[in-house]
Amino acid sequence: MIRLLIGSIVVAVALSGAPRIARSEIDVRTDDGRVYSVLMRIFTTAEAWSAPSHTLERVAGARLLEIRATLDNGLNLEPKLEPSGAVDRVVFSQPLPKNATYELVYSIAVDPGHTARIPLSVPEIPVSGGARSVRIEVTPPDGYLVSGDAFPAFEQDTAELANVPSHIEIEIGKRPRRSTPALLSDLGVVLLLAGGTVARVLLRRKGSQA
Amino acid sequence: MTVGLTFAVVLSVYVAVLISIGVVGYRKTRTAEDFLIAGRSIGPWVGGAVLAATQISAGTFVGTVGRHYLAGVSFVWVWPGVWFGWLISALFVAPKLREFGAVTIPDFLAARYNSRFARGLSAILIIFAYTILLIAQYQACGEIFQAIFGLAPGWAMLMLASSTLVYTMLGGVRSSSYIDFLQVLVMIAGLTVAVPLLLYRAGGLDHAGRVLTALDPRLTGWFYDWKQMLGLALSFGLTMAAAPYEMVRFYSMRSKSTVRYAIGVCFLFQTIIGSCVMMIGILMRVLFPRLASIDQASSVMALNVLSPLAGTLFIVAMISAIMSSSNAILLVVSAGISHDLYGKLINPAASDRSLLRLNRISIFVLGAVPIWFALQRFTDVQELVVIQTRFVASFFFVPMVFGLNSPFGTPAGAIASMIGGCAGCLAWTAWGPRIAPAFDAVEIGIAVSAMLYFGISAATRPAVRLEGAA
Repeated sequence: MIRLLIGSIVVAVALSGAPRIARSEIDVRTDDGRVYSVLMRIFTTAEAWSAPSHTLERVAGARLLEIRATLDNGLNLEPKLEPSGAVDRVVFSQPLPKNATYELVYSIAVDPGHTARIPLSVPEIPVSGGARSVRIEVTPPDGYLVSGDAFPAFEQDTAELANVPSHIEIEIGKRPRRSTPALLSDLGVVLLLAGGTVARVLLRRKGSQA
Repeated sequence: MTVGLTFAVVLSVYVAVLISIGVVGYRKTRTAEDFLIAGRSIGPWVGGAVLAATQISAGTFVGTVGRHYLAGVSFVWVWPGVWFGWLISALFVAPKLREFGAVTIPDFLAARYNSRFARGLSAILIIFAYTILLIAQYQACGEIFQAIFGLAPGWAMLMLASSTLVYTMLGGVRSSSYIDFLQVLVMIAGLTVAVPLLLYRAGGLDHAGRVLTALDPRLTGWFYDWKQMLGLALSFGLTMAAAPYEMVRFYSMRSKSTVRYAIGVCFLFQTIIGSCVMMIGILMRVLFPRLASIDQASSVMALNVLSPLAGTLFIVAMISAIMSSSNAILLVVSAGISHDLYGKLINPAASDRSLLRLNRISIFVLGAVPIWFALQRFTDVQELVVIQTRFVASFFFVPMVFGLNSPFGTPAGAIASMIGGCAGCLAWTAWGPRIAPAFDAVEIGIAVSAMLYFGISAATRPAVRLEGAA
């Protein structure tokens, strides 16, 4: 227990010196449903980040067209892509000072289909822990909305989360779509509960007849 | 409808159902034995669910998911350790313990070793070790509610404690057994609905595997070395073979054969739950590569990945796991106080009615006290569970397993093995990793316990073996 307490203190001290993401605002826009531009505005905590980097998932049917990153004072962070299997590492040329604010902008072309899966560039340090530290806003073309299935769950084109997901998955349409995998899973829940109740009743009847 | 609103409605209905089962149990509970062993009326399916529900806890839904998130697939090798523990239990512990026919584990130790000291010592260890486990349950509950609803952990813990206390105090083992059965079904439903949707979101198993390998090759290979895994598997397995809060449930089953059948049923439930938990942990790493805390993996999934209804079902399943373990812990700890310490050592002439009352008061007090400790958040949930399992295994495994299967052990040997095992485990936890990091504290604890048991038993006269209950 003593070792545990000392360990906890060491971890707490170590963590207090490590940079974290204080807040993250992510804006995803598309004019045609084929090319998506992603603007990530990231605010770090009061610790310097010596080797800043992100992870960008490689998604089938999505191609990265361009990427750039700048610090709030205008300094170009010159992001470089380092392929690493099914993900790319986005490595910045400069360390980040404490309380930094930087912007990462990239665009992604996706194959036409029901849903678009757009990878998000996930900082390789965790978020500081606030329940709504990450805000993702999707701006679809005029007259369209995020319809049907989405990951993470959006409310009126906006999602607020505690962590940055590796991608978003959205479907853009003129009106909400009802039949989605999420709905199917809800139906699964209802069927499971109904099936369980019916089985219980039948077993009980069988028992009382015996 | 949002997860928050759906959850509030579903949880209210669910807690109402649990409390009504508690009320039915209350009406059928006449004596302290009724309260503690349900009149030995529990069948194999309910019994199997009870064993599974007791073992599947916050540690599984929050901690084990979190460990899979952190360490990947290889953490699944903890389960064979658990199942090995069940196998030992099915062959060498459970049927014999059921046949022995006592009410608590200290009952058995006191009768087998003809020692009041063994009874008191084991009761105190049970109270201490299981309070740590209860802290882990509360901490997990606080973690879940804070992540999902932004609710202060103290309020979440208070809500968990009050609802669990009500049905535990009312119906004892009878109600809690039927509630455990219901809770296991809810857990399985919640997990099996979550996995396909998570898999779909992660882009399928093949893509998920490639992303995991790219993030960290250890996630699809070995994260811990085999010695660390063996230590973890042993601490879970050996605890499972001789865990008082599991073993005490054998007493409530109808017969020896019911106990064996129930262990098989439990094995089945745990296989389903263990596989789903692994999938959830690793798939969440694909979807959220950098969570603020590994303990958040389950709650983030329920809130951000699943649909409102599936998310609600999963959260209710998590709460069920926490409730069922808290309930089992409260029952075993309160029995330690009322039956073993008070009823057998302090006031053997106490009436059945006063024991029943003390049982309920103990449940209330022991349910409230750990909230303060849980709020201090000394370490993560899984670490608390591991610490507790090490101490329980080091203390109980040798005198229980060998005491049931051989007449060799003496009172002095048993007492020395319990104290020595626990002290060895404590010492190794504090200083061992600096001396020989390859050995886990549970291995040292059990080795010390076994050496003392056999050495001192050989040097002292054999105890008279008692037949039947205390």
